[in-house]
Amino acid sequence: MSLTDNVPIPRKTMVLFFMIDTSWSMRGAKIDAVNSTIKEVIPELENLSDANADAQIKIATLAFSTGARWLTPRGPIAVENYVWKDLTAQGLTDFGDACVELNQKLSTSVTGFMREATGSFAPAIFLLSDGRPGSYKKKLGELRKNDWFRKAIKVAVAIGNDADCSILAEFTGTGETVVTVHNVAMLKKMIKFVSVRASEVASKNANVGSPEGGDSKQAAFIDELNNFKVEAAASADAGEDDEW
Amino acid sequence: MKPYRSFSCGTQGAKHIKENLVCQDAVLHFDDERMSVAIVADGHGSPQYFRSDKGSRFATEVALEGIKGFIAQTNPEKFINDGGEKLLGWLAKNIIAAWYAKVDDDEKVNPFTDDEKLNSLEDKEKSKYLNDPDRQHLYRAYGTTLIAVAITDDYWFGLHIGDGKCIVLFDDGSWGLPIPWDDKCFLNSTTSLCDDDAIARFRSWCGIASKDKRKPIAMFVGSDGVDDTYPVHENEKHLERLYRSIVLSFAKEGYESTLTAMDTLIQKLTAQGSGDDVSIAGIIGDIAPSLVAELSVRDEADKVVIKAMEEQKKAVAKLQEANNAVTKAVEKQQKAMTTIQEARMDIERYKNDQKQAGDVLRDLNRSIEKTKKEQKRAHDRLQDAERGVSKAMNERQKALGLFQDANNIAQQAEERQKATAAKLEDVKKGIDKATEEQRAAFDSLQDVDMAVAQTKAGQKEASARLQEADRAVTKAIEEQQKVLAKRYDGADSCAPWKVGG
Repeated sequence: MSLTDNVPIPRKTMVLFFMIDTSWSMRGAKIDAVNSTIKEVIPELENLSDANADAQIKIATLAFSTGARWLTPRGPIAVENYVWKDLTAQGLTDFGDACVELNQKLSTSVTGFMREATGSFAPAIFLLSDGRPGSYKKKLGELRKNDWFRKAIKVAVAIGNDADCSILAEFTGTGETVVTVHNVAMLKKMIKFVSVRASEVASKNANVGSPEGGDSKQAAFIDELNNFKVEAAASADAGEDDEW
Repeated sequence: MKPYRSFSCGTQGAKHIKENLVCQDAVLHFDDERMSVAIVADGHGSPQYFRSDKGSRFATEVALEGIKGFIAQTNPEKFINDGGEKLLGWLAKNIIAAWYAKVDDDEKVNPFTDDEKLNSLEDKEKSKYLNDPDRQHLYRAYGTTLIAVAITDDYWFGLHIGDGKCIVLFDDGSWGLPIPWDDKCFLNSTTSLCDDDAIARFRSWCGIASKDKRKPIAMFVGSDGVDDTYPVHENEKHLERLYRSIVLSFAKEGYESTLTAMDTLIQKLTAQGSGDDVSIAGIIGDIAPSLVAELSVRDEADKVVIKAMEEQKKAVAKLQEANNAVTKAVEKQQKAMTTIQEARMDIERYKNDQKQAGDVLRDLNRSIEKTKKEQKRAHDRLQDAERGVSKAMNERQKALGLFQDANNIAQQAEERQKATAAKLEDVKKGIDKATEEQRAAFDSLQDVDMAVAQTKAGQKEASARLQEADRAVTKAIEEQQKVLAKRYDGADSCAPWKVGG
């Protein structure tokens, strides 16, 4: 066996984190839209993962309401093996607990979710929330010290006017990656766009060797997000009135 | 010097080829009787580091010159006595200074131009480079990492700034990452020769043959294009497997064959791995057959482990599939249960409907019975009505006779009426004629009345004139009397006249 044959090269992994508010206020059309749209998005991600020579996409889902719980407790699941289980909404908005959970899993420890991650592929973290959480500052502050978190592409979708965009911006690091949606149609559009494009950008080798590599991916995604926001606003149907 | 021999190889990243970017890695290796040296530098990839390909090349060149000078001028006993660390600090400073000098010289000969990647920078960023009196951004344009290892008969050392990794195999069969890691290097973030605190960011490691229990038998330095091919978690273990394969190749296939194989290997690493430029340099010693055997065993064991892990992954994937199937089956079961529940509810609903239909049927039967009775009554009434009609027909016949009689009487009355009408017409004519005569008489009467009225008016006028004449006569008399009175007043003022007296 030659030297080349003797050296296995693992396929790279990019983890897409869904961080979903399942508090009481999400009941009804909001959580229904989240469930149905992510189900629709998963086959698209699967195609993306299949066609992507750079990295395989895996999914980890964290739901938070009164406390936070992983829907993928054993670690990220390859998108082709991932089956979305419908979330139900009830309870409070313990965003701080979600930050603690995420912080614990953004590591290469025994129970961490980043054990398969390679140097070029920071995770993409997609936060969906419609509320105003209670105390969270300290827990979010700890999370923001996490290197994986700092390098991740972070996007938040604020559902309706009750969502506190300033908190979401604290999470993502910039208001540019916080998008407010006011109806089911726009929520669906945003979930699809963010899930697919953030995964695509995060799972592509970009600007390799750059000291600002992770940041450049976030910057690249911000550009795409801004363009999409303009397009989405221009193409909004007349029937897409504010619902929330 | 024997038994060590250095080597190096590098390739442009697969991603760089696709994006038409130059290779920003540089490698060098050097051997002589006193030393073996291996060096890798990785120029940064972002646009603001637009001369990093030169920066990395300069770094390897100045590092090699610095190391050669350091080893030539350093008394081995001094290195041993001083522990080497302090001397390596000076070496790092010299390397940085020499790199700055090289960069300065290059920039003087080739000042920044708009034709370079500077064009791709935003104006704000561009101005930092074009207006840089402190030359702060000059060095940034050439930013690079650097890893160098060297070995002599008496000591060995490594110097490192930035990412990439140095992996060492010791003669006792152990592997290590001897140069301390800098936590500032995470994912694609790295420290750099161009940093202001580059001296502080340099890490080093050294060993002394006469003191250390173990001695390096192979030293590898690789750019992050090698590291990033593998997971961050236990990255060194992955690199150990990679470099162990290379060591075994050196031992089994020989130096030249291995170098040729490595050229293919690094192509594979960038194509299937990181996509980044990939560079590996190293120093390989004579490896004892026992160590080769041990490494081979570990290699085989690793293959078994890797195979087992792959099997485990497949099993996990299958388990996941099974879980998914269970989830889907549960969902189907739930749907089926829902369907059954709905069916049961439908049956209950149908039973209720059936009961209601029975009630309706009974009501209908009662209604039919009632209707039949009504029908019989109606039949009786119809018979009564028919009898009534027959009777009415007889009455009608009688009435017809009476009607005929009445008609005759009416006809006679009509004839009488006509005769009466004729008489009435004659009377009317008489009346008209009398009326006409009356009107003529009336007109004559009116003429007489008018004549009387005129006569009366004339009489009245005559009377008025008469009265007026009377008044005039009276007045004339009075005037006459006054005149007379005045006349007599003159004759006899004491004998008054009295008119008419």
